Amino acid sequence: MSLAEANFQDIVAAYYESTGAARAARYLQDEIDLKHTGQLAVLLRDYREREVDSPTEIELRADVDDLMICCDILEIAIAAGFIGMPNGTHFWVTTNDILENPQVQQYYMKFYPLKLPQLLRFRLRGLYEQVADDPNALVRPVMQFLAMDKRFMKTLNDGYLLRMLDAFEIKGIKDWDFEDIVKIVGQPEEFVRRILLPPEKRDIPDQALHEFSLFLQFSFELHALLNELNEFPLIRSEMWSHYGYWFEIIGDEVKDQLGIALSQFLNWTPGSNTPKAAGEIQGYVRKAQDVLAALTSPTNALAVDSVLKEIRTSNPENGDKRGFVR
Amino acid sequence: MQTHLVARSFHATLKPDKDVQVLFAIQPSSKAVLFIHGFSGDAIDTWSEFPLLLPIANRCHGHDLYFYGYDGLRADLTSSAALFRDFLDRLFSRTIELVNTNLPPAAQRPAGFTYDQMLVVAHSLGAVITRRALLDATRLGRDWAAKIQMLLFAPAHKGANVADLALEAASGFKFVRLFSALARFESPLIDQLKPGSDILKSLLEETQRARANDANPHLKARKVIIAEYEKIVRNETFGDDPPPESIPNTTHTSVCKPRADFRRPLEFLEECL
Repeated sequence: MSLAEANFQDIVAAYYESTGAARAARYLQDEIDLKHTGQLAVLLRDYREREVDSPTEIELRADVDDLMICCDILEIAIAAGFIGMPNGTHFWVTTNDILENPQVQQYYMKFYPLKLPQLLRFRLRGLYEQVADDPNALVRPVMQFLAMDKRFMKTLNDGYLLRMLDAFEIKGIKDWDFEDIVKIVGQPEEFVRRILLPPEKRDIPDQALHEFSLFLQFSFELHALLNELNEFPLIRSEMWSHYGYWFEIIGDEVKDQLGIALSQFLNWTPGSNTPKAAGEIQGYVRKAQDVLAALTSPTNALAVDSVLKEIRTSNPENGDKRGFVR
Repeated sequence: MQTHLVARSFHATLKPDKDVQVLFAIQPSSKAVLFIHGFSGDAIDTWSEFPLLLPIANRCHGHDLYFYGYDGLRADLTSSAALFRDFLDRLFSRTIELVNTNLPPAAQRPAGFTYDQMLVVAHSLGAVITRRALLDATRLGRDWAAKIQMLLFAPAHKGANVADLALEAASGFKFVRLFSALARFESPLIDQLKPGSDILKSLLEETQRARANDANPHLKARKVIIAEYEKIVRNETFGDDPPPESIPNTTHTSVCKPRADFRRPLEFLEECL
């Protein structure tokens, strides 16, 4: 068995074939081949310039986002030596065509800046070949990362909480936003009642509360994993960049909002039979706030940013001055 | 060195809501370890770093590692046991078909691949479900039952007080358990796991009958591991199980959670392989 090939097939099965990524790749490749430049530019526009409300467009853009997520994971896996370098197979040729397309580039470099697809593009052009010296040392962290990311994608990525943290209101019988969740966290009895509801009886705020707990658990795990990778700054920075939207682009907002929700726990008053409870709650809240502060620190971006900057400096014709490197 | 492929959901289960995760060995030995969580646990989370530590443990290199998930909060115990038995039935009777369906093309196994041994590692309620499933499989004459051995962590087979655990597990915020007075939790498991319940009594009696004349050795646990500070289950010996071994400074929930700096649960498991 070729291990690198089996790992590659596993990643492609999980992030390409089982998501909208494969659909997006087929669609984009067809549009590129047909030179439908205008259509691509419309589909992949900046939503701040013109709203995206057509269900077909929403679905196609979600598929393109899945494809970008797949590119993230492939880049991390290559950098860690978990899979081989891109070769001339149909999959990589298609990926290269898509990442080289100017309209697609505008989408992932300017409108919704994503760093790892940019790195992958440089790899495909032969401008970036860095791979970990000792891939064996990274097997465990990479497998842990993939397991963790799978849970993130399944439970959080399309959930209510992250959309609320991104300033969206969720429409139900009434409209819910993150302030409503903060209020519930401030009421112990209501909080306990809602978290004990079985999944089939959960309404929007109940599900968001559940995701609040899951997101904090995920943050603790990611923080611990990144700490284990201090000797591998580039891989560490790449894994963190995979969650760059939440911890970098809107990181301050995420940290502040979750911090407010967490501070509500400090007002909970335990009964007299649990004298250590206040200390336990304070300890948890402090630890969670520290973890969120560490995860939203810009220093996490440094290694990836410096690689991108170096490639652009050495190859100005391949850079994009509109890119996201600070 | 990579000894196992990445964790994946195992597509063999009829249950849509709970996951079975598996790490397939790169050089399979026809042996497997299956983990089944306890009351309110999770297929993977219950076991903390087991999924990460096992692949680097020498004696586990060739073992496929399954993490079985079920609704351990609200589902009826007997139903959970029947579903688990059905899962094992399919896994043992259609092994190569199911395994290859879940493996990438580059890692397909040869026709004729089977499991000749499986260690079921069960925590808390998972031990009761495993016992019930194995007992029923034995009565139904399933050959695979004899290939199974049991390693039990803090088993609930002599009864448990589970209501307090519900709150902690339902939220993930551990401190919430301190506010259990606010909780109104309903589950058939509260009665089914009460010490001396009809279900637990008949489980013991049927096991003792099946074990008469030392028959069906697979119904006797290989090892029973208990926590030093146990507040959830009764630490009494079940049938002719071996005397329990205790891990110092552990609780009901921490007794089955190894870490890089706390390997005792993993060592117990390796002793059973």
